[in-house]
Amino acid sequence: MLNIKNLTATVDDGAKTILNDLSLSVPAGEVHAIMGPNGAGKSTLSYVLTGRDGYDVTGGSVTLDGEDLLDRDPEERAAKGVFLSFQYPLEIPGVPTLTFLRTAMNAQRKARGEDEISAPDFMKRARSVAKELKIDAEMLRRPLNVGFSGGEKKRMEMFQMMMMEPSFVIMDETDSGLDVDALRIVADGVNALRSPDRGILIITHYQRLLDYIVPDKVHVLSAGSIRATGDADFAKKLETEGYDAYA
Amino acid sequence: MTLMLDALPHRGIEEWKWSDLRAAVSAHDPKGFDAPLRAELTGPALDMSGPEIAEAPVDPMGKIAAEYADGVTSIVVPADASYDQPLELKGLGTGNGRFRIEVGAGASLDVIEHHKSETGFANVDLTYIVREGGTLRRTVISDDGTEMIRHVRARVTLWEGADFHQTLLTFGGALTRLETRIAGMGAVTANLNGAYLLDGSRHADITNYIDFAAPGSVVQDSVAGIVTDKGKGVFQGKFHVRRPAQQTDAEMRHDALMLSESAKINAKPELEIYADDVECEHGNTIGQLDEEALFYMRQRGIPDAQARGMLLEAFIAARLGDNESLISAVSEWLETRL
Repeated sequence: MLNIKNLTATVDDGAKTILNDLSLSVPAGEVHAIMGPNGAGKSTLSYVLTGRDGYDVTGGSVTLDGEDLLDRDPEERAAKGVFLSFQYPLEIPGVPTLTFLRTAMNAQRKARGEDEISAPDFMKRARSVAKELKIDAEMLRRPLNVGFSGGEKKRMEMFQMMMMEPSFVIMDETDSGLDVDALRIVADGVNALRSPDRGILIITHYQRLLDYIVPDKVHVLSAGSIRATGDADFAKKLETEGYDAYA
Repeated sequence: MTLMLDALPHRGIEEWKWSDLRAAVSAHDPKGFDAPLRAELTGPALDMSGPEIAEAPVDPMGKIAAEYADGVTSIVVPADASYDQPLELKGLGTGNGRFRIEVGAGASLDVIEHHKSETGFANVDLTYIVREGGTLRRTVISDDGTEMIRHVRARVTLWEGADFHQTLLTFGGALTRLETRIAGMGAVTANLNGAYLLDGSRHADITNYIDFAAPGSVVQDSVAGIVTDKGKGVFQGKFHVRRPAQQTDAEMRHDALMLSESAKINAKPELEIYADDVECEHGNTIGQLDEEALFYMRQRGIPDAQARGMLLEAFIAARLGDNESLISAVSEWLETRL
């Protein structure tokens, strides 16, 4: 269970408040969607949850399965099982995708006091996940995301997510830049990861992705806090009526 | 000492404005200035009775080398010869040395130069000649102490069809200058790769000058650097394309990362082109490590120092090809500094 209580965060040394007394609980086993207008604080929420520099948390708490997240470095949160699918995945020149992934998975395992994954086990799993996501093996030997199209980058995020099997997933605008086929592949990946011990938070501007990944709850984020909550149908209503009522 | 200092190039000379050798020698008063350098050569059995260097040196460092070196070590590789092992120049410690290495037509040679000393002064003057259709692969590693002053200059003459590959790696010193001057006398190919990694108050200078005199050459010149603490990196690159050198295809790149506020990098990529049908480009970037990429890696669970190391190693390794011993020297340097 991810538990966000009265979270307030600022940028520019306190000059601007981006999250304002935000509270939200995502129990394991559920998929929640956060929708909202541009500038509502959607991406900020994903960065504050994952510990990116440049955001000051001035109040509130965030716990995952009862353990505090905010005091931990980004890599420690990752080892705890927090995975962020980036809106704009970064290019990592010179580091082949598989090398990157194996390094990351082993770093997480080491932080958790587990043994490293063996090379044959890793390769076996990588091949099977790649097949599921229709990712060409040749692509996995190329430097991560370098020269990949927007859709390929998103697919690579899903590949990493499925390899890592995180305990909590945050998807930041994963649907942007995807055609319908790619959207379906991403949705299949996420739906395959739905499980009683994993929470998923989908941040999105459009309702489109939610046709493929049906959420348990939909929240409206506006002006830095949650203004309304509903079920899957609520997303369709928001799409037609807009967010003006929640400003 | 006054006389010796006067002979040295200094910042008043355009080509030396960022690497003031006279000031460095004056500050460190190094030994070896008027001594010969004694190198140890290993590798294939080669003819060591090659000719003297024909031209008398006209530049200050060449004159100093000619005055204090113990003659010229002159090696000739016969036409069409090739060897399983590289020719290694070891013990390039302190003092003045002169080398002439000629690769015969159609022959192939790998040369590895190990420049290393804790303190002192070295002035190494190398003349490489690659005859028609010959191949020379030159690898240079300079791994000196913080008090060492080193000048290494290679004059490389490439004849029609010659193929030249160069990889330089330097960790700098009190002042290190690795200068390569190429004369392309026919249609040749040349790949010049280089990297510098500097910490403390180390200084390294990579200067590449390429003179194209004939049509149809293809040249890639790519240098990358990482500078931290109060290190100072210098890159000077010049393509001089003479009027007959039509269809020259040449690209020059210098990319550097500064890891501290007090690091310093000076770069001067230059093109001087007299032919009208050529493709010549140059690019120069100086920046910091990509913080967004770093966050991305940490979000995946890779600890900060390890993520920095991976990004920096990949940045440099791209210039070192598949040379594993150079790449592992880079990893070692990064590991102790991150």
